[in-house]
Order: sequence, then structure tokens, then C-alpha cells
Amino acid sequence: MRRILLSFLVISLVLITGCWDWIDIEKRGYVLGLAIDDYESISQEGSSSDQKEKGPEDKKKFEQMELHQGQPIYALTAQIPVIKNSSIISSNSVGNGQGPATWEITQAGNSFIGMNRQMQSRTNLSLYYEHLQVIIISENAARKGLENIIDFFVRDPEMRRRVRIFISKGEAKKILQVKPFIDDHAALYISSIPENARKSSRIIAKTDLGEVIKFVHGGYDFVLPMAESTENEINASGGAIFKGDKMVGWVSEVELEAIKMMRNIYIGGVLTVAIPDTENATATLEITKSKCKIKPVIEKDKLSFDLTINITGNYAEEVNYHTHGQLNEEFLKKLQKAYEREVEMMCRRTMEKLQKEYEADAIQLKKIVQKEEPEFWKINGKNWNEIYPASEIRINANVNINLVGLKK
Amino acid sequence: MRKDSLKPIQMMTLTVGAIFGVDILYGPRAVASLAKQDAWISVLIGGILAIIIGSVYYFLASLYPDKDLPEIFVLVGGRFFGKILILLNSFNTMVYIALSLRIFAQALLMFLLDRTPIYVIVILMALVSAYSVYKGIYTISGVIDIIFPVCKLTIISVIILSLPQGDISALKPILFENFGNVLKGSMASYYIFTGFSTITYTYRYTENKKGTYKWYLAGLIIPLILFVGLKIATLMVFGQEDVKSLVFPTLTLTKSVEFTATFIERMESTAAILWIIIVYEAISMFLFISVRNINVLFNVPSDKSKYTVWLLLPIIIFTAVIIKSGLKVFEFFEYNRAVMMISGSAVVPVLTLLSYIKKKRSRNRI
Amino acid sequence: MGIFQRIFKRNKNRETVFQGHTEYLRKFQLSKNIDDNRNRLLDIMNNSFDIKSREFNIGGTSLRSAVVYIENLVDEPEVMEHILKPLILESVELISHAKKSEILDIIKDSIISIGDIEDVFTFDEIVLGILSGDTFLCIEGHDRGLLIKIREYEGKPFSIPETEPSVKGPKEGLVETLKRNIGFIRKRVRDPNLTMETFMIGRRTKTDLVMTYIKGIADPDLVEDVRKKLKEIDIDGTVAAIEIGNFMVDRPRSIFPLIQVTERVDKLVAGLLQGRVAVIMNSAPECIIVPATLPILMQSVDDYYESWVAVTLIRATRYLGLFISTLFPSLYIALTSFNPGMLPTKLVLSITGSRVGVPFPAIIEALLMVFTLELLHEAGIRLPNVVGQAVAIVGGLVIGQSAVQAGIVSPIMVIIISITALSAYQIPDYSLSLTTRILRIPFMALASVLGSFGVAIGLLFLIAYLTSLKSFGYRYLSPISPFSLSDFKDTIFKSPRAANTKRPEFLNTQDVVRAKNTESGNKK
Repeated sequence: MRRILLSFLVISLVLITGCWDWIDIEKRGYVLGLAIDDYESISQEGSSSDQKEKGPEDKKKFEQMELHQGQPIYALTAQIPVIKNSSIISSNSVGNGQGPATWEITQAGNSFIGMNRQMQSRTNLSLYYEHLQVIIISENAARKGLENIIDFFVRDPEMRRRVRIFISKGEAKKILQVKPFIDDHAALYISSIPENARKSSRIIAKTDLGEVIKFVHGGYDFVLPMAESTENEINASGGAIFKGDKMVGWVSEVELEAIKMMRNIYIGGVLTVAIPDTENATATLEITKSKCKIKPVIEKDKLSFDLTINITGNYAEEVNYHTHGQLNEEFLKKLQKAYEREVEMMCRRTMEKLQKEYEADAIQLKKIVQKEEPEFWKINGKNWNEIYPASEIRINANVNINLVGLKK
Repeated sequence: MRKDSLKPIQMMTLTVGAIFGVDILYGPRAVASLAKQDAWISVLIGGILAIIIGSVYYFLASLYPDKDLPEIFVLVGGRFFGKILILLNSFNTMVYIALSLRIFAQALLMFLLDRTPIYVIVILMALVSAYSVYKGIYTISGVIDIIFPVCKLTIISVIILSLPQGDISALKPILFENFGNVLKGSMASYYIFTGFSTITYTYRYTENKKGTYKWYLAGLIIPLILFVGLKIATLMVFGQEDVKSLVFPTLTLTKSVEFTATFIERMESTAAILWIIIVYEAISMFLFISVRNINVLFNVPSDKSKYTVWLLLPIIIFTAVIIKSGLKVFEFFEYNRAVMMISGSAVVPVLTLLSYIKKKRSRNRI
Repeated sequence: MGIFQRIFKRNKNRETVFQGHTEYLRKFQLSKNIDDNRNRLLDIMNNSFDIKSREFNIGGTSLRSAVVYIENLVDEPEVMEHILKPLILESVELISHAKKSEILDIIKDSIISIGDIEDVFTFDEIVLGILSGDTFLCIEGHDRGLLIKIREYEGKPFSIPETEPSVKGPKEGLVETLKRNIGFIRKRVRDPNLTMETFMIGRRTKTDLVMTYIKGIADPDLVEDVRKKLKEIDIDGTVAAIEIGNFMVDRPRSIFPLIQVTERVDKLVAGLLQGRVAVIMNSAPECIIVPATLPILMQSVDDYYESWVAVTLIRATRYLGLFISTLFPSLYIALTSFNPGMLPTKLVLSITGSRVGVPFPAIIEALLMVFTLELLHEAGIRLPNVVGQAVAIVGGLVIGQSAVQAGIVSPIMVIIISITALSAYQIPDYSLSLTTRILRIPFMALASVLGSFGVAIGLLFLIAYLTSLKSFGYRYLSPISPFSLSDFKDTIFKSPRAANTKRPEFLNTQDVVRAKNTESGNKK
């Protein structure tokens, strides 16, 4: 018994000397969102938000830091919630809900962990990244290359792989500074927008850090969602095309739809088409299912692809054409053909752009070749950058209209 | 009041407990870097090999129903040679425990704690395991019994929940000019099954010797299935290029599972707790083995035998803490396991053969 | 005669000599002179006023005899009616014709018409008998005396168990009188195999103790073990059966209760039917049932009165409550201070929101609240019912609410502590709930140093400790730890047929099958 007591005492002595990892919950600054801007672009143009605030020179001073070597490349902005001003406080606490609910700290530097630690010198909270929801990268920074940026995020064990990534048109910082009507924090707002991907096909659903890392390491090209903002709203439709890890250009909303269809990540959306044999009349299809089969075809050492897109949808709305109870099979068949043509045209146009203008394999045909035709890949893999723009892509769409709603 | 004994089903739980150890966290990486997208086939082959050799171990144990491995060494190999074998075995086992503790502490530091010194984690984990060993095999098996379902269910749910994010085409092309690598990978996966030798130590405590074989087999098959499943899941979610670059693939896998806004939003927390339990099981079993080895080696009288564990503890803790480099630990661990498995696979079948012949001869004589 | 002189000479060292000590008294034999006997008895009892002695002549002869008894322990009217009256009035015939040497036997066999009668020779038996409520009879010229048992049993006729209420079922509780308790049991178990063995415990209290079991069901090893342990108890005295329990267990310092203590007669009888052994003591309204395992302590009588689905859910809640009561505050500390990443984002933000402005770190808050909780609990026990209401109001509203409003504790902490407290109170066995309250504190300490790792380590230690704990040779966690499927059906879940067909396997009972009819009405 004495032995137990003695060992207990000894152990507790050791343990009492440290609560090494104790940080009270309210002393942590939960970084909800990060914005990464290219430093040169910001410092040249001058941050538009900075000019509105008092003392831009002071602020700029804090934002610089003494670097061990090199010049500042990036400007990192972290969004931290200011709890005492948020709307979730109950009756007890100090503070009264006025004032900004978040605090954005900007820091310029060339190493992310360095910038992170420097930000700690400006706040008494211990920055904590496990609740990071979103990383927004500005276009200029993205064009310089993503791999530099994400190395820190992949290595640090605090990051989760489900952090969403957006590319912003213009300054990334501005997106975080949006004051949304509904949520307190812009980061939470923007990170939950992709949940609506079922409704709108112009948002990409699944683009988190894990995916990006996978693509970058695998050498695949990919597309990331775009974000642009006004003072209170964020719009996340459209996408940015990446070749390797550098951004090469934007795709519009419709082109993004096509890419989603072809890459098989289309989970819902609408498609409007002009009703044949009419003027100004359109019919809209609510697409519920879309699957794309890609088959690589090799003839005489030449690679081409057959894409078959199968779409199922419901007839959702008609404009300037009223069936008035006369909706019938023939009509639907005609419409189906019209939809198919529309889809094929969309996809073809997008592929043109991807192959010729950007030379980026955003629908990841490379992966399919690697998996399905490994012998071909072994021989010709290194020439993929030449093969891809030259391969012929044949698109065939099949549309099936399923339900018509409550009205005929 | 019944006499204490192990039930046959505990053969399964104890074997599974001993096999699942530290390597569940980072295992996929080594094999994936060798065999790439067919790593799961490697694991399958490695596992089948483990089943075969494991059965040989079982056979040896069944030849001497009331003795455990160190006693068999002495009996069959003669006092001198047998004790050399025990010495080697103990050395290997103790190094295994120390390295496991160290790797465990490193991973824990990364995912759960941050600035806690390594020795604290190592000492505490070692203490808990030593306490169970001190109380005896029945305590160890009791704890493992209770923990077992929780543990396995969590692993299964990690696998199942990460599948939707996965991309099955990551497994293709299957066996494309990869066969040599797959074989190389199987040797590496075979080492994962370290711990299947514990049957030779636990066999003598079972009450009902019949019917233990099928439980032992189940105890080998379950890890096999789970390891293959984990391998497939990590390959599918990360793609084989990425797996190579991850230090702890399985933990990172759990980080990637997420349900928005449910209470278990992050799977990694349950996985971290789970992992503490798994390592505890393995370390307790191996510590038990070491204690038995040392007791037979030095002929410790049976009333003092339960105190041996407290003697071993400082040695092991010291070893675990003293290594400076965090990366080298993994290398040492691989070497250690390779040595254990290869020596075990070489020595034990020979011993079994010898014992079998001996038994046959003595039976014939009678 | 030298012995008498020694006694009458006031011994200066009397205080150091434990005069009531059995061995010392055994030396003194009954003398033929009843005056000597009487004086000696009064002297041994320090002339306490309630020792009555009455001299009389037997049967009209001049044979003198005396009766000594303690006033409040014997049934005086009966003594008069059945001892004095026959001896004085009605024994004339028998005595006058009797030979001198036969008189005591005749008195014993033919005259005294009540009670157990015992021959006594030495003062240890006499003194013990008188103190137990027997009447001592000695006759001039005989060195043999008689002890006649005509005890009066005062005390409650029955009691209602207040500390173990139940929704349905009999509400009869044990009382402080051993004889009545035995009657309760016998009424319910009309099996001749119901065995009662008696012991006397305590040098000064010499309390009667009865060990009871059903022969043919209970494991004979268990019975022998309990018997041996009871015989080995050598203490001054005790007033509660529970103290006896502590002497019998293998590990008296264990935090977990290794015996089941209950006031309810139905629990007692159920335990006997399961094959366990019960120990009841005089002047204590509780009995001890051994062996006690964790699942047994977590059962409540209501479990057997309701449907199996309801019972399974309730039991699951109960076991969950066991965990919550021990671990909840520590989990809170661990998760919020070490790994807030484990919680969902919205939850983290709202907890942080509620903790802004609180001056203490989470562990201090938790300790404060636990301390307050313990204060409230103790106060609630001490106060009489009338004032108890005020305590509830003070505790709950004033302390909790005001502390939150003053910003000393966060509202989250109050919620956590309340849930923890409730979980502790719903544990059926009071000692077990005390255990969880004790265990809270080391877990909180572990959590505050090492976060969730600390909690996990602590939990592993606890499970290892529990697995190796034995109550009278049976593992504390049967049937969870040495897993036994047939028993497990009655632990957390309750399958419809479970409780009635077989006895618990781990108890190693001799008679295994309980019933041929199962609950669902089918014949097996």
C-alpha cells in the first residue's frame, strides 16, 4: 500500500510540473478562414480596404515583418471570431454584441509558418487551425503556383484535409471581409455554399485541400471554384483551371457545368434549351442524375476518347410555351433531342477551350488512360502534354426526361 | 468460484490485440511505396503467409499444452541453446516494445498533444501496460475483452466511412507489370503480423484446448481483413502517389472523414482514442511475453515472478526515450520487426519439426 | 473459597482487566450457595440497577432458589407466569417426591413450560445469557444452573425501505430485530434447504449474526468461505452489518463496493434464489449479500417487473450514467482545454462564447462546482425533511444561477455538473455512486494535465483494476469480463427469457435450471 502511495506521489510530482498543453478554450483564436494574396499585387495597388481605415501606414507597419531571408511573397489574412461581439452570447457575458464580429489580421511574408507565428505576436489569443473552414487564394497567387502554398497546410497536423479552397477574382482578403447577413463569419458562410451544389450545377461540391493535394502530387490538372464578393454577399459559381499547380485561366459558369458533367461530379442543376420549332420559348430541365462514361480508344497509336453522358431529369419549367395539358411523348422526345444537342455542344465548346486555349486536362483524362490503358501509357506517358491537345474527343449525350411535376 | 482460465474465444481477441499495434497508423506507407496501387494484394499475400506460419506456431504450442515458448525452447533446444534463443527473443521483444512506445508517443504528440515531453507519454503508457501485466494474463485478457468490440467497430467504421470519398479507379491497373513489387511488398506486410506468436504463450492458460484453433485462425484473419481494408481505403482516398508522402496515412485518413455538424464531426478524435487502446493491447501482450521470457531465462521463483515487470520497465522506458532522431525510429522499427519475423519463421518451424519427431519417437518407445 | 475472596477483594487493577471477557469468566464456576452466585453476578454487572433477582422457595419446600434477569430484555409477565408461578405454586407434587439430585432435571423437563432451557456451569455462559435476555435460575445446593430463554423483542414490526424505493413490487424492509427479519425470509422461501447459521460477533457487543443461504443452490465453496471469514472476525463490537462486510471482503481498501447492502426483503430473497449468501445482523436493518459484482449492483428490482424493451433501454441509460458520472467533467476539461478541434465548430464557438469573462480556468471551475455539489449532497442528508426543500432551492437556483450571472462559472459548467450529479444519483447502489464521485477527481486531475490522453490512460487503469478485482473469488465484472453470453443477456440488455430460466452462470451454482416455463409462456 505504501508502495502505491509512493509511486502515486512521484508521478503526481512529475505531472504537476507541467500542464504542457493546457490552453483555455477562450484563449484560443479559432482561425476560421485564411486568405492568401500575392504580396506584390497588394502592395502595388494598395489594398482598397486599407484606404478606408484610419492610419493605413500604421497598419502596414504591423503587416510587415522582419524576414530571415528573401522578400515577402505572400500576404496571409486570418479571420478570427471576436466572441464577445458575436450573436451567440447568452445573458451572462461582458460585451454587448455591437462591433465587428470578426477580426482579420493580415501578415506579409514568405513562409506561411513564419507568418502564422508573427501573427501571434499581434494577438493574445493562441491561433488554432483545427477549425479552419476555408482557404481563399487570390488569382495572382494561384498563377504563381499552388504547391508552395499548400506545403505548410499539408504538413501541419492541425490542418484538416476537408478545408475548402476557393480562388478569388481580385483580392482574397476582401472575400473574408464580407459581412454576411446570415452568419456572423464570412468563412463559415463561404464554406457552406458548396453544400448547395445539388441545386446549382455551377458550384463545385468537393474541392477540399485533400483533393488538391492528391491532384498536385499525382500531376493531374484540375478545376477549383471561384469566389467573388460584394460587401455582404459571396458568389461562388464559376471555376479556375489549373495546369500542374499553376492557374491558367477562368472558366465561365456554363463551362464549369460541362466540366462537371464530364468529370462525373455533376450532382444536380438545371439546363435550359430553346424549344424546337418555336420562337423565344424555352424549356428547363431539372437534372437529377448525370453520369459520364469515358472510354479511351487507341487506333494505330493515336488516342481518342468516347464520352457518353447519361442524364436523367425532370421537366421543370416552360417559358413562352404553354402545353396546357397537352404534354405528350412526342413533345418530350423532341425536347430530349434538343437537350442532347445542347449538352453536346456545351461540352464540345468547353473541351475546345480546355484543349486548345489552356491545354489543361481538367477532366482528368490522364487518369483514365493510366488506369485503363497502362501499356499505352508506359510508352507514351511522357508525351502527354502533346498528346492531349491533339486527341479527338467524341461526345454523345443521352437525356431521359422522367417526371413532369404536378402539371401537364 | 472457478479456477481462472482463458476461454477459447480469447485466443482470438488476444492474438488480434497483439497483432494490431503501432503499425496500424503508418503501415500503409511502407508497403504502398513498394507495391504502389497493388499494395492491398501485398498485404493479402503477407497475411496468408502469416496464417501458414502461424499455424505452425499453433501446432508447436499444442504439442506442449502446458508449457509456453521459453519453456519449449529450453526443453527442445537444450538448456544452453534454448536459453540463447530466449535471450535473443527477449532482446527483440523488448526493443519492439521500446520502439512502439516511442513511435506511439511521437504520433500522439502530433495529433493530440503538442508540447508534452515524450517521456511523460512513454512512461504513462508503459505504466498502464505494466500494471495489467503485473495483475496477470487474466487481467490483460479481461481488459482486451472489454475493449475489443469498440476497437474493431471503430476501425471498420473508419474504413467504411472513408469509402465514399474514395475513387476505386485508384486501385487500377491491377497487377500491371507490378508482380515483383507486390512480392517485395508482401514481405514488408508479413512483418506487420508480428504478434501472432503470442499464441505460444497464451495457449497454456486456456481451459478447453479443443476448438482453440478456429479462434486462433479467426484471430489471424480479422487483422488480415482489416489491414487489407485499410490499405484499400487509403489507396482509394489518397491515390498511391500521395500515400507515399504521408507519414501517418491512417490517421490522416481519419482526418478526412467528416460529417458536418454532428457530434462526431471529426473522426480523428475517436481514432486517436482508439489508437491509444490498440497500442496498449499490443504493449501489454509483448510485455507479458518479455516477462515470461525473463522469468524462464533466469529461473525466477514463481512467487516473485510478478515483480519482474517492474524491473523491465525502466530499461524499456530508457531505451524508448534515448533515441534522438524521430525519423530513424521508424527505420529501427522496421529492422526490428524484420529480425523478429525472420528469426521466428526460421526457428520455430525447425523446433516444431524436432519436437514432433521427438514426440513420435517417445510415443513409439512406449 | 480462595477464589471468592479474590473476587470480593476489590482489585485495584480492575480497569485493566476486561471483566466481561469470556475467558476470564470461564474460570468461575457456579457455587452451591445461591447468595454467592447472586452477589457475584451483581458484582460482574457492576450493580446495574436493571438486573433483577428474585428469591423464592420451590414448590412449598424450603429449597431456596433465585431467578436473575435483566428487566428490559425479558418478557416479565411470561417469566412470572411460566417460571415463577409453576415453580412456586404448581410444582409441589413433583418436587416433594423427587430426589435431590433429580430436582433440576424435573424442573427442566416437567415444570417450566416455556422457552429453550440450557444447563450452565460457568459464569461466562451465565453472564452472556443474562445479557442476551435469558433468565437464570439457580437452586441452593446445586452447582448447575438453568438459562431460560424468554426474550422480549421490541422494535418495529416492519419497515418501509426509504433508501431504496421502487415503483412497483413489495415494499417491505428489514427491521432492527433479527428474529423478525428471519421471519420475513422464511415466509417467502418455504424451502427446507433454506439454511440459517448463527454466529456471535464482537467481544463486547456479542451481536447475533445469521448467515443464510439455500443449500443446493449456493456454491458450497462460497458458503464455506463466508463461514470461515465470519469465524475469524475478532473485534470489539459493531452496530452495523456493513462493517462486518468490510471485514469479510478480500480487499477492504477497495474503492468499489464488494458487497451488496440492502434493506429490501425482496432483493434479499432474489439474491438467495440466485445462489448468493446473505448475512443479517441483530440491531441492523441492512443485510449483506455476497458476492456482489458490478452488474448486480447496477440492477434495480424494477427491472424484473417491466417489459424487456423498456428495461433494456433503462439499463443502457443507467450504464451510460455510470460513465457520465465519472467522466463527464474530465471530458469537458480535456476537450475544451486541450483538443477543441474534436468538437464541432459551432459548439466550440458557443462554448467559447459562454466562457468569455470567466476568470478561472476550466479545471478550477470544475473543482469548485464539484465541491459545491458535494456540500449540497451532504447538507441534504443531514437536514430534516422540512428544511430539505430550502436546501434544494438554495443550491439549485441561488448558487447555480447566481454564480453564472456573477460570471464566476460558465453556464456550460453548470449544465455539465448537473448532468453529472443526476447520473450519480440514478445509480441503484449508493456505495457505487459514491465510488463514481470519488473517481471524478483523479480523472479531472489527469484531464487537466494531459487532456484526452490522460483520460484514456486513466480509463485503462480503471478497467485493468476492475478486471482484476474479485468479490469473494468471483470476478467483479462478470459477466462482462469473463464473458458469458447467457449471463450477459441479463446485464445491460434484458432478453425476455433471461432472468427466469437459468441461474447466473458465474456463480457456479449447483442447481442450474430455475424454471421450466419461460416468461413468454412457452414450455421449454
